[in-house]
Amino acid sequence: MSLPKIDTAIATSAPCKHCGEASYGADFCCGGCETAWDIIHAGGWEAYYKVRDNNSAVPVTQGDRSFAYLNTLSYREQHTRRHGEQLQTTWYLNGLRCPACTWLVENVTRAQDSIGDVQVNFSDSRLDLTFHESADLEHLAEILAGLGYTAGLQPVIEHGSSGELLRLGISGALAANLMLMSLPFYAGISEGFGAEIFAWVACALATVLLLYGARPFFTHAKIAVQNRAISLDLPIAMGLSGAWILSTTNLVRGAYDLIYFDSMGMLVFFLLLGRYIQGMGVRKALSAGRRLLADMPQMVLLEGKDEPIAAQDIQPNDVLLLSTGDLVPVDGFLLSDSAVLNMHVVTGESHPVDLRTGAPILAGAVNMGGTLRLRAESAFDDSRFAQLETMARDLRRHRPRRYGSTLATGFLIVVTLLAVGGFIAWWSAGPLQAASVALTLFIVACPCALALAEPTARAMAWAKAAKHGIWLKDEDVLDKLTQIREVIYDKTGLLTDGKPKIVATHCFITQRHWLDAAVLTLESATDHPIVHAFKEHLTPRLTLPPATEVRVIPGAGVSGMVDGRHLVLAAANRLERFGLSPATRESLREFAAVMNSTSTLVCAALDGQPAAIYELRDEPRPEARQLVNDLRERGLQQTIISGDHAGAVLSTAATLGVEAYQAEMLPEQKLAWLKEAETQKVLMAGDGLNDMGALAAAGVAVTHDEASRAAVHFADVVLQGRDISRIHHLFSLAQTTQFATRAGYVLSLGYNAVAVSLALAGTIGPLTAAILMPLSSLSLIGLIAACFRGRSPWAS
Amino acid sequence: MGILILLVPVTLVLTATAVGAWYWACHNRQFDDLDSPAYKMLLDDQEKEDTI
Repeated sequence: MSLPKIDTAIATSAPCKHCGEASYGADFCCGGCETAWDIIHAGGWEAYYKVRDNNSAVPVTQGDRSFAYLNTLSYREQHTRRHGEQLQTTWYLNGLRCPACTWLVENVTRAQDSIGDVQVNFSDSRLDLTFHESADLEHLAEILAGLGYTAGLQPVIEHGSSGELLRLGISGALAANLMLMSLPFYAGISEGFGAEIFAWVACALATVLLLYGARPFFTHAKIAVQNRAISLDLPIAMGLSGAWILSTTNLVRGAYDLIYFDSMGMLVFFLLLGRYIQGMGVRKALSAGRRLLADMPQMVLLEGKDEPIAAQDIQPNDVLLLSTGDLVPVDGFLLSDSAVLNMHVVTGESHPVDLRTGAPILAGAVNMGGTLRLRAESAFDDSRFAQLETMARDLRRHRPRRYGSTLATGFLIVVTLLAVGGFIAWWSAGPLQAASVALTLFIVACPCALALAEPTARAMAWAKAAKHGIWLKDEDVLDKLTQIREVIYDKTGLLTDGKPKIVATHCFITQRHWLDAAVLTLESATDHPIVHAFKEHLTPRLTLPPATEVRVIPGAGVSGMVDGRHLVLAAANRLERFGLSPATRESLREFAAVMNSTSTLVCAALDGQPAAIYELRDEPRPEARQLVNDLRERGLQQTIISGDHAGAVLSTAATLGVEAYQAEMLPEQKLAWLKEAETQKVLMAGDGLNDMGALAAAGVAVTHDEASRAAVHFADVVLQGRDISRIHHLFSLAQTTQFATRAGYVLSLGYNAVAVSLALAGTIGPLTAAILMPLSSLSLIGLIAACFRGRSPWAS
Repeated sequence: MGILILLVPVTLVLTATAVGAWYWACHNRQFDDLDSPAYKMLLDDQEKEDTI
């Protein structure tokens, strides 16, 4: 049976008017884009299309986030603050692709009733809203979601970086003025006209600078000493204090040409500058994180109350009413007679679990059966799932120290020994001269270059990645990437968009239209990705009441009662899970075999008899082939693993040029298979829907921001949007980072070797040292920046 | 050279003013978003009816 040819006319027709993706002959690629177009034109905001970046457009995905929380009292209390007569609040928006989106969001928001003012910060994806008490925030959030911008909340956090920038600027002002005040001494006029005024003013400014600008160094040094850890802030703090003490002593003595306040000032300024630049990369990554993890609290119905409450507000002993598909928000006990739950996110099992009255239920489970009653045992934050999330976050924060800091520790010890040695050696020339040499050594043996090399390289890598929509969750990812030898792809949802389309239907019974309606009704009760395929393809002429006794088996299918008849919709290779008679299974299988299709086959059985077979196709993404080629050139082994049937997986593998593949895998099998490999050398890319276990076990886990929430939480790398060609960029970036770090070490060690020798020989004084020191930091930053520019994987 | 008695304090006052302006800018979030203002310039703001 030959495959139908794609009509090339349709394939090359005009793209979606809203997002620019292929739309196969229609004006829009999906309902979401069409809605967005309508909203924009209705409001008169068409100028948006002219100004936005055309390569940043993305189809509007229909999310299922509920914004009901925004109109509750709880939200008002916890997330808003008073601002004169109005209230203020902050949201995080997902979906801002270019600054033109900020204009659109701001204007759409302002056009709503009772909104005072709105500011959208593009780099942070943050929306600051000022509004009147009567504003309908839920409605606003829904409109924005319709345009493709989903709002989420974070626990209230204060903006930290303005303090750093402030300190940097003030230190710069003070340092510059210190240099000004030192001018007479540079010019050689140290007596006469009152040069001492300058010296004393310089002293005053330097004192302010030391107490305010240099405070972070002293604070960190103190913490390090208290914890008996070695920190590079220690010699910096000592060097700065030494410079101040020495200069003030000389000032009092009247030796005006031996004061070094301006050098001290430059030291502080350049050190702060270096740290700020480093911090920029970190801040960008953090803000990407806030945006991705921002979410709306779930609303839950309590027994006996009309209005739902936020999940956060659940108290122990509350009785919750959960419908089909609802996530269980807290740990508790079952009150209903029976329930069917999917514990996938919690335990990794994909089989749903049958429970009886009194059974304990863990937060994170999904209700697969009908409405269930649950008595809450814990409050929201105390549930096991919340604890797991906190634990995962903490684990990440307390990683063991990198070898770079061991190097730095050794370096520190050597420097201290040399300084002490130098002091003793020069003692015969006088104590002040000896102190001067020791001070010079401390300043010039800039630990900063060494300390800065690795963090600066990482920060630049981070920032570069963030700029291209790649969010690296923690610092070690880049190192781990250099160890990777094997790449494993999940098929559906990663290599493909996970949005299969129905390409053909084979119906065995006469009531075709009834069957279509019934299939649609049953599928609507689930959140399978293929629901959309059915919705788009089937246009039923009648509406049926909702399905009952719905039972979903993840990875296999769904069964339920529709209009009094028992309907089963299952993947052709998973029929045995649904209690169908062997005869029915055989005839469905035979038909499927005859079709010999590379499509995914979904079988429908009505009252135990074969009813229809639907052919679904999920084409791989266009950039996937290029990615496979690129990674093959890097010498990486690639495999596709999928729960889909062999024909479909083979077809995808052949299209992309991947030699190895595993088909028909259950989630547990995927995990087991992965564990057989050396996990630290494996990069797994998936969307978390049925590969959570495998993702968590892999050395590096990559997912995208449209994947399941659990995947976004546990993955190491999150891509913005579905373009997976960036996986190749990850490897390039990791390589560049490693190179840049090593280059940085070479530069700083070489510089130190030369400078320390000069200092010990007495050839340079603290003044020259203070000039050399920032030079080393700057050249280091410059070198690392050059590494990233020169080898940019995005250059062409 | 007596003019220095005047100039030094003037310098300090100027510095203080500059520092004050910097402080205002940082706290007023002037440096937070450096990308959007470039685009907002190109588009017209909508006139809004006063509904409050």
